[in-house]
Amino acid sequence: MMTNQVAPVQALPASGAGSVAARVVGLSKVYGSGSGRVVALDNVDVLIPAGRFTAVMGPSGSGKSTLLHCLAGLDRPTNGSVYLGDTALESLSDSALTELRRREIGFVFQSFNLVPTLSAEENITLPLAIAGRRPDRGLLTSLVNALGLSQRLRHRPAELSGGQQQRVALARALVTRPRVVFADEPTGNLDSRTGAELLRLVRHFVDENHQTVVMVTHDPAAAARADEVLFLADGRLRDRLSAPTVEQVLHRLAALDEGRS
Amino acid sequence: MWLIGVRNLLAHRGRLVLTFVTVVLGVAFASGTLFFADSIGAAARAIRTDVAVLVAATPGEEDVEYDARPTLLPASQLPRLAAIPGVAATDGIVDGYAAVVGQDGKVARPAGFANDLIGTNWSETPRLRLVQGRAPAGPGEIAVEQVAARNGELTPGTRTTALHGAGTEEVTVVGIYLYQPALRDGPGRAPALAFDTTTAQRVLQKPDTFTSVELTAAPGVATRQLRDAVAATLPAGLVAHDGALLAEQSRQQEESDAGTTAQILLSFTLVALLIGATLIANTFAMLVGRRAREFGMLRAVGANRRQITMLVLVEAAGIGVLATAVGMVVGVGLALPMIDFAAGRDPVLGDTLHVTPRAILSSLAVGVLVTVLAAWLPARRAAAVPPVTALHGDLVLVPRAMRVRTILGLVLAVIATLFCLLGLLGNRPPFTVAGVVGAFTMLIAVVLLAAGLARVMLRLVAVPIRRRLLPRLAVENVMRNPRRTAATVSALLVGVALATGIAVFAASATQADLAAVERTVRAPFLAANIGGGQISQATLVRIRAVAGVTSAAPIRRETAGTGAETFSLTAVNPAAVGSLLNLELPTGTPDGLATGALAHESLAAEREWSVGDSVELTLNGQRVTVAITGLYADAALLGDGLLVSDDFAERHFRPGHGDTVLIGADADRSELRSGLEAALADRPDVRLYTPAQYASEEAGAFSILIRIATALLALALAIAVLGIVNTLALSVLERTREVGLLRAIGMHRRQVRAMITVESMLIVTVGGVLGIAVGILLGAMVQHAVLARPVTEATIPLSLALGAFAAMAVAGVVAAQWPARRAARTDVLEAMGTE
Repeated sequence: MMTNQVAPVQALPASGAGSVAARVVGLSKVYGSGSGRVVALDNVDVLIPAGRFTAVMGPSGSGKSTLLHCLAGLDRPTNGSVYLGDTALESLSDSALTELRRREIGFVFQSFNLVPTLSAEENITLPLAIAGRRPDRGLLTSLVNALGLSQRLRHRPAELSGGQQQRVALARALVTRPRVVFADEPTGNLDSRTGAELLRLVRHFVDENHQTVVMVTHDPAAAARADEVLFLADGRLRDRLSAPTVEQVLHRLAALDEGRS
Repeated sequence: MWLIGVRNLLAHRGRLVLTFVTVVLGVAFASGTLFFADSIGAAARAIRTDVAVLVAATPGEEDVEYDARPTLLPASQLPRLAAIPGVAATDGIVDGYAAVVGQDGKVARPAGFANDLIGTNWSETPRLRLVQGRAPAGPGEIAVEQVAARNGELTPGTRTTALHGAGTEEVTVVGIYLYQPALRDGPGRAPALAFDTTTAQRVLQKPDTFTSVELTAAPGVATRQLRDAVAATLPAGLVAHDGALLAEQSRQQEESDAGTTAQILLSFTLVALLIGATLIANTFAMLVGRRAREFGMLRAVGANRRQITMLVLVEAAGIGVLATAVGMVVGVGLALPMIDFAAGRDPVLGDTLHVTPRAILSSLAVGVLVTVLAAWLPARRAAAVPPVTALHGDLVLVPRAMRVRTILGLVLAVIATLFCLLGLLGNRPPFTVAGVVGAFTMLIAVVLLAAGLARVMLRLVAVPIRRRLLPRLAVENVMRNPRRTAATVSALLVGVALATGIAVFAASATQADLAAVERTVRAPFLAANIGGGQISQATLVRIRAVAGVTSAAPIRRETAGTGAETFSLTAVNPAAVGSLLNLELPTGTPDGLATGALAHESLAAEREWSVGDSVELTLNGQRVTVAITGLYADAALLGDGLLVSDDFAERHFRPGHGDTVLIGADADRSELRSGLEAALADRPDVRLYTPAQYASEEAGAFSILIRIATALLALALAIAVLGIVNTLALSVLERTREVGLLRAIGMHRRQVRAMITVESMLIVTVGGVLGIAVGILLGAMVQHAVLARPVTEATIPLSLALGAFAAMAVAGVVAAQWPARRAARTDVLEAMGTE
């Protein structure tokens, strides 16, 4: 089911069955205690293959966002382990986690994605500025051209359309050549046409640059652009689907709902 | 709604701490000042009311100044006064220059704010109340005023030296007394020591004379009638005063002094409160922003706008009442040491805390009103929250345009500039006044334009760091809400500007004094009495005997009058002019001093005297005619009246050798200094100065200004710190998502902290630089007006400016601590508002 693809941008260490960008083992996440206790994730094992586009789906409260946050080092699991490449995240201090996010992870969020006081270009190079590094002009130019932003670099976020803003966010997520890009409902605030365009670009970076992307979504059309869809419900991994179509995704989601009720 | 308001107060108490502290501070200052004023003014504690009539050789009914008592009462008047029907008792008083030496070898200062030192005679009346030991009974014994005793560590049994105009006495302290004056002659002038009457007459004035007599009335006799009866029997030159009237005048004087002090303190408080109001408004804006959903929900379930406004105002009033209560307690804490200090210096002032209903009500009104008014705008904004906000998102507080403010600011700035330019044109009143008006207008203009100026300055700061993203991010953040930044900056700006202005003025005044003394005094040394007394013959002889001293010229002063107007008369040896003194004479030559008098240009202009005129003066009861032989320009030490020769003084002045001696010498300075110090060793009340030392001593009066400037600066910084904490906390809160994003894409906590700290430093820098700039303008224009020095000669006290910058840097860092930590602790997931 998992194909071995060696990303040309960065060589990933082999692990288990093939090249793995990230994995979680026996991951549980519990919020609160006593009667207020909520199990967000219950003993989940997931492999994120390198150079592939993985979508995570599930109803509200299924734990899909929690999974993404744990994978990205934004949230700490209650039990189990998270590996980014070969690095076990639970052993890292806050400071080391921050460094890791800076180096190895790119983020695209649903909204509030950009710093309003900085121009588009400054937003794109912000992670490098935070790290005190200079941007690779060649990479920056190719990213900007590929994302169709070359005419928009001097603009502030408020002067950009929603689609343009998300493209800037995507450029920012890619500019550090991260091991994995995590996207949390990136099309959630976009109309369907703009959303489709953004997904086309994500697809492009996966296909051309072997960029690993993990996207949480509840839009079946968005999920259908991925190489593989993981279905979560009630904190457990229920199903997976390779080379999905919209119909298949809808069908699996419906089955998931039935299985729950 | 009331219930919700109270519940909210309890629920948000953490966030309201800042508002609470602000109101507490404001009310503490205000109430402390009011309590202080009421306490020291209410009592008129030590002013006695038992004196029915005061007989003194005072020229006028109103003028009760000590220096203007030329004639003495013969002791024979006393039994005659006692025989007047209605007089119960007489107390003959002698006072004159005297000082007592403390254990440390220095003059022991008595209670009171005045520099003048006096001694008196002991008498068994409430005037001197014995608190320890016994009354002095003969030569060689003195009683000491209680504050002087404390300052000089003198107790009954201590052997020490009493200093007076004629010489020194070896004495033993036998008692300690509290001075209870019957009238307030100057700002608290307690006699430092008391001799027995015979000794007092001998050393302070002349044997068998008194300077004044206090009469007490027999029961049932009205002071008014007794005064008239006494006045009818008095020889010329003596005046009887109604004691009740004097006590009333003293009491009024006391209250008005206390009132003035309170007004100065209250104006500081007002500035503090205005700035505090901004703080409170900011805090409420922050709370309202945070609770937009709650307001939206209340609106959705049917609350109308007015109810929402009331809800916020009720919360504000609640805080106002609580904080005012705490503030008043703190106010009492502030007032107590102030009362102690004032009463310790001046025994006439009340020393017990009086908490009047008026002060309580005023404090309450101030605290509650300021809080409610400050919360008014945020409350209105809360009411404007649409019900739909309950369903999503936050309240975006859109900063409104400040166009009116900017236009007004620009107009004022242009006017201010014109006035300042006008001020540069001359050193005389129309110009100097224009300059001062221009400077103060500029302060207002800069406050109005603070937002725009901050923007320009921050842009300038941003130029060199254009390529550095993170510092730039901080600059952008500060500019994000210009109105709020402007409010924060103004708070600091006004305080720093006033402090700098005062400091520049004080430094310029000191500089002017120094320049004047150095221009006038050519003598390498001068000796002066520190308590307003005369230099004794013995001291003068000893100075002249020091090896290397070529001349010693006393400067003597007297007050003379023509008609009702008085002016100063200064006498020097004509030989000293040119050698010890440098005189600038627009008209005439120094020789004129030997044949007549030189008049100060301004006095001559005022009286329309010209060279060659003969002027008739009243001097110590005599009429003296003197010819004007020349005019002299401003000169240190020589006053602004008439300058006469020492021969003239010998003939017409009261006996003495003046309070200052110019010392000429041809010997090595350091050798000479030790010789002179040895010659003055027995007179701790006479101090040796170089001209520069004398100037800085004279300028010591300005050190109080420097202290006020420092206190004001500290107050400004304290308030600014609160303001910056507030502004940054609000800004951090509004940027929670953004900070979360920055953390998510790899910003370290310490980088977040650094960013916020840089923001704080930027606000401080803008406020500080603008404040110092306007302050220098203020100081320059005020010194221009008051000292008549060119604007460009204003002295900028570098040490204070550097110190201010250092203090501001510290304040900036301190203020950033809490908001920065809060921002750094931002939880990425919460901030990004998932789901």
